[in-house]
Amino acid sequence: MNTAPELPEKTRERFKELRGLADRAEAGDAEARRKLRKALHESSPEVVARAADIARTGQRVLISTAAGKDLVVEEALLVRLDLMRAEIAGENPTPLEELLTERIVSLWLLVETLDTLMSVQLCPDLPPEKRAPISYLRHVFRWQESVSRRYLAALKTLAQVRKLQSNTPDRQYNTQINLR
Amino acid sequence: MNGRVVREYVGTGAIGKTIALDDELKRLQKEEEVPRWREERECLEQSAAFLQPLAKVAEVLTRAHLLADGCHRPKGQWRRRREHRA
Repeated sequence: MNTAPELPEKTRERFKELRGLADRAEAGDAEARRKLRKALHESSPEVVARAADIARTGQRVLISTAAGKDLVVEEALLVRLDLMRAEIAGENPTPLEELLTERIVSLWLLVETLDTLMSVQLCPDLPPEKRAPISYLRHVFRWQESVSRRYLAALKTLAQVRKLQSNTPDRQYNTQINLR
Repeated sequence: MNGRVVREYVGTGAIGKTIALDDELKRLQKEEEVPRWREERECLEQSAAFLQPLAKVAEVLTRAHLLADGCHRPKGQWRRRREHRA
């Protein structure tokens, strides 16, 4: 059974509104773009805060699964996540940067968990009774590949958002020189 | 073997019986292991389930912020709209 945690009803409504406006703005509706700017200003902090809550709670659950019952590992992972979060988000992050950072940190945690799981299973000293069946390993391997791809894509998104939202010049000048 | 049932003759008498019992034991152990590993897999998947809503919100909000900031995505690649010089 796979039950993903969800945003509260009110936040879901706001999120739906933002998605609708973004769809229309992307299709070229200038009025929707104006409304989107206003709606983002009003509801983005709340949606980001709720999603970040889900991320933090989820990270704790995943950490406790990954650490088994080892409290030292659990504590070490929590500290590591805090350090990563501070390093990736940087000083004075925007709410969007905070959200993207949470996503990156969560994906890193899953990448590490699956890597550890695989390396334990591939260890030749593992007793046969603890060895997982091939079907299980195949599933974890596919999952590991997909999570690694998503992790790299999330890093790329954050870099792109920072570049596009920074004050880098947005004009492009092309110079043509004709040589005879 | 390769999805096919293969019969292998191992002999008769006490040796044959011992090998048959050993095979039966291995089969039973395998049957017992299946639910345990399925449970393990489900536990891990459930622990990582929060990534789905997180990805959805991050994707939509990134798109919304970039659009509101005047960016567009002409060929799947986000770019700033060019400023028209007056």
